[in-house]
Amino acid sequence: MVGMRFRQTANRPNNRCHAAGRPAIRAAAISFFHRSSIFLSTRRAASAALFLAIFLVISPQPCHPENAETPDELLAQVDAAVDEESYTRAIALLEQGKELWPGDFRIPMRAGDLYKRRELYRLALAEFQAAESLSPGDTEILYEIAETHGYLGNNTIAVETLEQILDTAVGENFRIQIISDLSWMYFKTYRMQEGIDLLESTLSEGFDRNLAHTLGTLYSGVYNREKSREWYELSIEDALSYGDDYFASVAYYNLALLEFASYRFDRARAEALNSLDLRSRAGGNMVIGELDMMAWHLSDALESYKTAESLDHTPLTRVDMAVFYQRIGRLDEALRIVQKIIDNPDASWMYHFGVDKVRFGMDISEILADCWAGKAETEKLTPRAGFINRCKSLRSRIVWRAKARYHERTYKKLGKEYAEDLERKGNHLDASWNSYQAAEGYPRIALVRLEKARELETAIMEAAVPWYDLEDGWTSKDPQSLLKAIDAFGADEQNPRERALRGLSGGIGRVTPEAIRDESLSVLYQMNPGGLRQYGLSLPIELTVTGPGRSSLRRKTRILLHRSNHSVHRPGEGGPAAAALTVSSADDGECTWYIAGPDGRTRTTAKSGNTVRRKETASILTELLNGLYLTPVVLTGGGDSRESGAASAGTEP
Amino acid sequence: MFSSRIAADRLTGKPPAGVVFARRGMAERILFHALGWTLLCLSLREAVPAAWAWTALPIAVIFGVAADLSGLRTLTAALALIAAPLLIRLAILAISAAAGSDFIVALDNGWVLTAPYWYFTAAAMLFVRRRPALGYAEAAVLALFCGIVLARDDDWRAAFSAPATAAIKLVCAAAVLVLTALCFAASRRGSAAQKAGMGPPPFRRPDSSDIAHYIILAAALALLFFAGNKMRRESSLSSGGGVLASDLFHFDFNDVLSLEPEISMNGELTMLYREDGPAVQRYLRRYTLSGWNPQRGFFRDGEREKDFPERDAMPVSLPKGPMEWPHAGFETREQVHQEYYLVALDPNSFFALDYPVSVEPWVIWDDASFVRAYAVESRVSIADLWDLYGARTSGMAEPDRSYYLEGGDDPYFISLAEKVVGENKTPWSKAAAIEKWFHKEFYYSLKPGLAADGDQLSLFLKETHRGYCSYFAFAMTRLCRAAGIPARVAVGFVTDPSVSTLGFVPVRADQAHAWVEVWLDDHGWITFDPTTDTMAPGEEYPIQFISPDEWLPLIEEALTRRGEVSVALDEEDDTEENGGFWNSVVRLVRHRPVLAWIIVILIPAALYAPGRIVPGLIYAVAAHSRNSRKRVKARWKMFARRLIRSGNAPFASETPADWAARVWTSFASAGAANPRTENSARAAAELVPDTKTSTVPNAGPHAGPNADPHAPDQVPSASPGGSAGLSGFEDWTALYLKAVFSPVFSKQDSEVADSAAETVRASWKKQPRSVRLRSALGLGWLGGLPW
Repeated sequence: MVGMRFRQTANRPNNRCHAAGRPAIRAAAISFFHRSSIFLSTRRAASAALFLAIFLVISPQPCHPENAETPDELLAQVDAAVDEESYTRAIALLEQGKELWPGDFRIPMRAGDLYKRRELYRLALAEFQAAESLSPGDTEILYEIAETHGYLGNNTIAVETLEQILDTAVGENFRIQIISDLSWMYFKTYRMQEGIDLLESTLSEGFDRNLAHTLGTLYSGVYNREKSREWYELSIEDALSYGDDYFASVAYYNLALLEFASYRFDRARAEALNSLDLRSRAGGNMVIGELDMMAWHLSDALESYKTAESLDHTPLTRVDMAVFYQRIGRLDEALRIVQKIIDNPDASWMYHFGVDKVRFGMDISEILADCWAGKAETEKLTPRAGFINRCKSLRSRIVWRAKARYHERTYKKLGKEYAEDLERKGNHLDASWNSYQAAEGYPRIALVRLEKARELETAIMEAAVPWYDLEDGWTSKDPQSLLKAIDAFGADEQNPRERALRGLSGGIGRVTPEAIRDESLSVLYQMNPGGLRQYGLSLPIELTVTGPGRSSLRRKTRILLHRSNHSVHRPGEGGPAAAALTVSSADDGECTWYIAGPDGRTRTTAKSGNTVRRKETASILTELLNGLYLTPVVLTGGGDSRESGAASAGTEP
Repeated sequence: MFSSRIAADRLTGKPPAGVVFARRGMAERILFHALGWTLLCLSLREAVPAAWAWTALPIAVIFGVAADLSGLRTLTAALALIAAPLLIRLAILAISAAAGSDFIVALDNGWVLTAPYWYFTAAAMLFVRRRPALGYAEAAVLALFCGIVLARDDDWRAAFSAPATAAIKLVCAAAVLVLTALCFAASRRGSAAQKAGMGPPPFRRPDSSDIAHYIILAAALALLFFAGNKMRRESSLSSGGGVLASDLFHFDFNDVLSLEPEISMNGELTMLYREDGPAVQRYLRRYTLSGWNPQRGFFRDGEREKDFPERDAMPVSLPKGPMEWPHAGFETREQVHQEYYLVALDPNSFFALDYPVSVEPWVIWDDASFVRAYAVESRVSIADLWDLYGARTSGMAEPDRSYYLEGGDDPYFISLAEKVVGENKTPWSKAAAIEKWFHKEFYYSLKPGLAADGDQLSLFLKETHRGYCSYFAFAMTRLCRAAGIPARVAVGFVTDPSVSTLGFVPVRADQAHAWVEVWLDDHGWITFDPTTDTMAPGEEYPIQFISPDEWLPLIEEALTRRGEVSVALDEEDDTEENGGFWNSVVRLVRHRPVLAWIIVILIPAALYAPGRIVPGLIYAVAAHSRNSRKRVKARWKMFARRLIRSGNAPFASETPADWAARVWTSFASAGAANPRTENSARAAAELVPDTKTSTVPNAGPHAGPNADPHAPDQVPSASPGGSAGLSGFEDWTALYLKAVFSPVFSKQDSEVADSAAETVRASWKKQPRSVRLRSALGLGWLGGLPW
């Protein structure tokens, strides 16, 4: 899900609920991906053909710079040197050419092209600007300048330059190319309406699937789902008619994201499957994984994530997996994955996904904050015997809590920066939403932001209402809002439902009536046993000890459970959500430990002698509790995994 | 009680004594708090807003001082100190909520994470000013905190390179040490003054003893710094892949091949190199390690390292100016031109391919991101299987050959080599068989494990079959030598050709590598890389990346500033080129650690020679003379110089007797000021008139106003001042004067003088430690006697 959050450039995410995060528009970034891969690939192919042609013409000739008597000869030698990968020579030739023919703009232009292709954008810009000073007003040079500014993140200058050359550009293809770039830059600078107007007027003159696709993205940016869908479908139809499967796959994927962001999860799944039918891409698998996560089909979600990871060159899928593991309580696994992501400082992939470092940093910080806080809470609920072990446990809790606090604060700081940036761009909905998230923990401030976001979004999307109720319930600690949200969530929205149940089970404090709390806890346990302890929730335990030595065993067990913050009850007194811990001591000195969930099903067993010491008792109890609070996830690898996964995860509470 | 005294002092308008002393230590204490705060904020820089980092600590200091000056009782002031920021925060929260602003969120980002430190600083400012002895605890806590932060394996590397991070930490550690000492000293002064109820001593200009203190402190710091750096360099091997160590701000290769039980990988950018043509994998060689002995294993062997027998050894460091070397005339080699741009490597590191024929060091632009750049021409082997298959090794002259076969006579390696080589007959095929054996039978591992008997190579070959590049290179070289093939180890970087832009290739620290070079007649040293690609089961290779954001700007810089490059000339001033004096110091410490230690020891020796060592030796000889006059004079002068070093120099017009009387009095009053000797000083003051009459007989004409030349000889009694003043010093001085001026100086006089000297020394030992320490450490440059 976080992978989706990365691409939520035009709509509001819900980071706090991770996989239960708000469906959001990922079309923006994906369409950029599409654009960069399809459009640029066409251009690169043309350029490659041009280079090949030049190479074939000039390759038999010797390349001595001193022999170049005209700029054309020199440029031919430069191309030959580039083909031989003799870049030092190519650059030296260009420098020499600039001195010999200082008025020829083609030489700095070629130098700029050489640098731009190798992502040396500052050098490229300087060369293009030098070329422009030699040939003022040249639209091709200005186009290169605009594009380079875009790569350098100077979006406003890029837009101004593209606008400047739009009217004077000669040649239909070149004009279309400028329009395509300009409309995309309008999207990036959140000038949606200008982009829509430009593309609609262009498309009214003749259809172009690239432009149609970009128009769909722009419409999604202003939350006009129907229009967006219409243009996506038109571009897909056109691509399929020409046999361009790759284009159609990407467009289907974007359509799936659009539906996901529109809370139409069944349609999102259908579009994602259409995309996968055409091409098995990481993005398609990721959407399916997120939809499974949303429906709480955990095993299926993991399977899709793993498939996506094998195809993905970015850390997006890994982030999704880290969130997945964090939600089900496998915190060490989540931390391991995040560490892997952090170890790779290469952020160049973000460029193609419309993700910036702030947004990425927010997501990583949030996972880390949740994981470390979860570890501290889990440790608090883990029996420890002996002075040294308890001291170690205390130390661990303090350290983990401090780490959690640090990452939480990092998240807030980045969230504030991000919200302010969105606000500057005029994206008020996302700005309000991110600002709300950054202000979590400050109910009065957060609720103001939440209300603003609710007002903006529910006006255009009715399905968003329960999601806002959920947030409102958590922030204002109002059980009624949470109950209202639970009632309104559809069958595909199990992920937010889990979060609402967590709030009712004690996550928002002990404000929920006891009966509802017990009921919620019981359902929550069936849904996600691994997700309880990390949020400080535990089932009441009904303790039964039988056989010789029972009083000693009972005392030890009770003390250890009490000290580890569990509530221990006599059999039948723990309420509907109680787990049952049975210790059966036999005459032969063997002792059997059973622990069962609220449904009465035994989760795990252990054996020991009946004269166990406190430390052994603690380790047995730890083992039993780990078994009790384990969310089962089964990777089947087959087509039937969906059913087994659902069963194992205990969905449909 | 203490706070009531503070209040009483305030009523009289005088600052309390302890407070005055605490103020005198404020600068170092605030500096120490600031150091700790800086380290904390650096560690938390992702979360803590910059504005908070800059402003919060001064506010804490102001709050603490204000609480002290408020006149409140200590407990009340402490409670006010706790409550004040909370109340301010509540007020901001209320205003933020009312205004809908999220300022409170930003404020809390700093407050929540740094509140404990903030409170500690504020509380320290309050409590230590009132009770200076608490300064000890304050300094200890700060030192502990700074130590923990510095020891953490943090992510400072996002801002600094690994060697720079380590060097900064080392500097910080030294600063922590100095500040701890200064804070302890301030606490001692403050608490002593508080106990004595006295104000601070008057300001005095630093004298020679102070200078000596500073010099000794500097020398101690230098020692600490160098020792720390040496330890860090050794420990850094584990994160440098076992071959790369980090020195002050730079990486460089180790000139001994060490086999570590576990290494980690550091993926930092170390340099760029540039080469035209299709990118290929290159072995960028830093050293060859030809020497071998059982104790050290393979090591760099100075002049004996050669690329071919007729040639001088290759320089370890980059030459100052252009240099060319003769061609060997080996077959099937091509010339390769490369440019090196060093980023985080020792600026004198010289890299080349096997083997270089010319180098051209460059003078680059002043604000360069590179520490050094140069161009190298190398001749690289392009020989293939058919060229090398039949090559022999017999062309190598016998002394060289036996040198390159050292370590090959071990029976285990001989039998193993026979087994691995099998039916292969030619040197190349044997070496290739050994290389292949390693590729097939061994695993790459970053955790080869620790051998119980310390023999890492045996563990690798006989048991685990797991190791990293150094293990493979070490083992293959031994096996080649055992098979009769001259071989040596080479260390440097192996490059990744897939990452190349305009011919520039970035090189990461984790690409540090060790490989093997085997001698083949007519072809020279041929590279073999026995390191396997197969990871050990259960291990995952930590793939490292360098962000293009990090190295593309360097390429841009190298291309745009290329016009500013000029060729370095041999006669250029080395100190300027290489960063000056400190670089020379660093090189000296690294390459000649013993010499560096000797120099560090010689500096104080030289300082002490004129005032202490030389006169001390002269007097020490005279003090053991059989001539009793000489002996008495020498011993008295030695002690007199000691007194002068403690800050009690005689005035120009004073006679020795006057001086002795004055010194006695001043020591008596100082003793009275010292609470430890207060009672005895009081007694001394009462008895001063008596001591003036207790003199030595037959004193000379300058024996002073209290001398009575007509009194009968008697053994002088110890001054009744006891430990307060310098008991017996006046008597001893009188005897010294008698020894100088009187024609008669009996054996009894000598014994009396010795006895007086003993009394004086005993009394000296009871003087405050600071007085004695000052005297002990003083340089003695102004310690001469005016008489």
